[in-house]
Amino acid sequence: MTVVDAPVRLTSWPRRVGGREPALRVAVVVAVVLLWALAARLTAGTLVIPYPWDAVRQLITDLPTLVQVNTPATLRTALWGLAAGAVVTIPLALLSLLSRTLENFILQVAVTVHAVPFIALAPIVVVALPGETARITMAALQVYFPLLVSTLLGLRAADERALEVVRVSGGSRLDEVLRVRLPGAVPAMLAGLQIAVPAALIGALIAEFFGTDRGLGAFLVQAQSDLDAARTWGTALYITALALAQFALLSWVSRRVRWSANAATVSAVVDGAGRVRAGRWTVGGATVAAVAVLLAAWQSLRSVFHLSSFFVKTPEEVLDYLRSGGHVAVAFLVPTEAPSFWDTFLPGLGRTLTDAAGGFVLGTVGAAAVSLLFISSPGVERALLPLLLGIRSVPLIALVPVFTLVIGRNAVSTTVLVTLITFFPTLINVLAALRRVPHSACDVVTVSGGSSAATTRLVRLFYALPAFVESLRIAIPAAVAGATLAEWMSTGTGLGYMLTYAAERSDYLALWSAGVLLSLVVLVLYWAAGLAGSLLLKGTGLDDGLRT
Amino acid sequence: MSRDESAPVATARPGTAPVDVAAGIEIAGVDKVFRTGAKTTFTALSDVTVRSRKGSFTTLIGPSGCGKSTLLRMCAALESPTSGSVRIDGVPPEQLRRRHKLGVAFQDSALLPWRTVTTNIELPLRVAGTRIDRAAVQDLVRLVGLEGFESARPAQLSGGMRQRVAIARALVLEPDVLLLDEPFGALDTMTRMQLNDELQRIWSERATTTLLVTHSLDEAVYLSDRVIVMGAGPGRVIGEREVGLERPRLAALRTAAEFVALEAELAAMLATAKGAR
Repeated sequence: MTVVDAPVRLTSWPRRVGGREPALRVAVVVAVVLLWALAARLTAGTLVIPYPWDAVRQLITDLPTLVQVNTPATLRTALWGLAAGAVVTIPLALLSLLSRTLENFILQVAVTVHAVPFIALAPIVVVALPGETARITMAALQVYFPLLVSTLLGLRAADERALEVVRVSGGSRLDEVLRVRLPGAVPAMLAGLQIAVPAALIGALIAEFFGTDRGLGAFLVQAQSDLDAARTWGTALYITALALAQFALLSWVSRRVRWSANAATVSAVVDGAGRVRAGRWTVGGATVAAVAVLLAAWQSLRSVFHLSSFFVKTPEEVLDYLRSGGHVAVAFLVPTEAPSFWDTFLPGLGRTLTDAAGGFVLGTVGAAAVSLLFISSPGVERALLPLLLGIRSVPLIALVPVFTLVIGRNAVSTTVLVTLITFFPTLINVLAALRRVPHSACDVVTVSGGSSAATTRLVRLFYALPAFVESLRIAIPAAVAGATLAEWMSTGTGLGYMLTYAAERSDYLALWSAGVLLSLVVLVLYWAAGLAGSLLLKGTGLDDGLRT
Repeated sequence: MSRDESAPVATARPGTAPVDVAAGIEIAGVDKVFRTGAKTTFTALSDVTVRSRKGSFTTLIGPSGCGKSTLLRMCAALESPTSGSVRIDGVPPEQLRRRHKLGVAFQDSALLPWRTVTTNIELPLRVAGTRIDRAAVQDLVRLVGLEGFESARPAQLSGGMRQRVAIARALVLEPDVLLLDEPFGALDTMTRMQLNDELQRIWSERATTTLLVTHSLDEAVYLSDRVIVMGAGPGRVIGEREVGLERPRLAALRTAAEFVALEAELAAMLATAKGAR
């Protein structure tokens, strides 16, 4: 996949450059504040939505604590997580340059671990590792995937001719990597960071939900459980501002790197990680090897890493437990009267999948509709894209306490959360794909007398289809992660609740079993979506066509 | 070296056939100014006047950045002049476009990868909403020599074959004007010469007013009734030549004294254009 620098755009004389865009951006921000105020007015008395100024006033009161105590704690976790992620990832990416099979294998392992929902992993990590280490691990687990994929793409995208120049000049493979591949990968890595840094923040915040005395996540949860609306909203505002500040900083750095490509384009490519082309057998073999290695790693947790047998169960133990139809621990019940694992797990899974599906569908349909709206008015898109990219860097999933506070402990708050998690990445990916449509193809339709609607219908939609399909696939693990998190923190239903309840009762066999099964379900859905997507693209001829 | 150097712009010269002002392409006093920054501008075209008779083949040649593609895009109503006017058969190009009477092909074949040869050729018909005449499309496929490849996808075709499809697609609306922006620019010389022959044959069968933009002097002389030479900085017309060679022109003509002399003359004009910067 090549990444092309955006050409310097010449604007025709009579049209003014950028006159309306900042105005439109300001208008949108003002509209959001007004809507917020209106919502506060309408819900006055329920004490869930404060007026914007009350939230800001509370934030100013809290600011010293937030800045001196909580922000350093959260940022430290996020940055260490980022560093740990980078230390593991970059050597792996370099290693995968050695062979395609190795690359496939590394990616398969990465995808598999990436599909494991946070809630399946966090309770175990939190008890098995000491506090700070556990939180850093959770942050690193959120970070490594975008870092790995962007680095890989950057290294692979090196100009073949430039490599040949080094080779012909008698350079070694090391020269190739140092002089061509690594510098060439910098823009893609920066684009990867634009996803990885918010991800580190998400990891740190959610890890803090699991109990710690300092950190923004802990502060937010405390405010929500105190039903302190002004403080909850004020803290959410603060986290949003923090995310936007890091987004602005990274964008600034990316612009400094003069050979940097269009960030939106690259990050869409980074999001679309799965699109690695390889023969079916290579991928199949790599998958089998990846599963084997992950099982071995799981098995070795106890014997090699000396983790406690109380917290860490082996594959064998989990299999035995599932086969014997063991019971889950429930308070006040003697074990034999407790419900069996399957009787708890299966309804929970149904609940979780329903929760995830609702928001997934709404978010996807919404993203498709809004991107169509944007095609018909490119000026609006140009004006709002920076805002959208900014919003994507806001850790929406970590603002689950706000949704709980406002909407209540019901399925609606889960749906809203999952909708938002699905909506923004899908929209941004589809918009980026629409921007990559070759101009000449649209010109042919225009010159033939076609309207812009005809251009959309005949050309643009098809070019955007692969990105759309890919976004659906990427959204699956995210939707399940969002649903389970909301189930745990807000509704007390589904697998999110079952997993954390098992952790509370120290029922580690049930915890491991349910976590592993849920991860398997997510992986199967992810693979199935990939298969369905590639069949669809093959059917429309988009598959081999877009490679030329 | 040439008596034309004194001519400020290429208009109808005394002695050539009178130009029917209501027909063919008429570009009159066109300027195009782009804004490059808050206060800086770039003049792409300055006072360009070009006329071509209905049914004739006109070629624009010139160095990179002389605005020849911009001029062609104005004829396609893809760009509008900052000042001056562009008319085709007496009406603005927008009007022809609305009537689905323009055909265009670019250097990049711009084929839709998910469509077959046939359905790619049919695309402008879909846009126009006219009934698809399968026999006419099949005729076009035959005309550009792609029988047997009707249901192939672009990925399965060579570069030359893709350009043939693009030409057929440009012809499918039976346009009043055919606009070709370096259609063979990315092809190797052998393929290019072959496609020149084919384009000449196609053009002779349906004498359509044609505007071609190219870098190749050989192609310009071989195909055109008239060659317009442009210079850069700012883009302007620096001269023109009628090509009086008889049709059909055959490959052997390329080595004929008349052909070579004309080519050399055009090359000399381009060289002076560069010197003038």
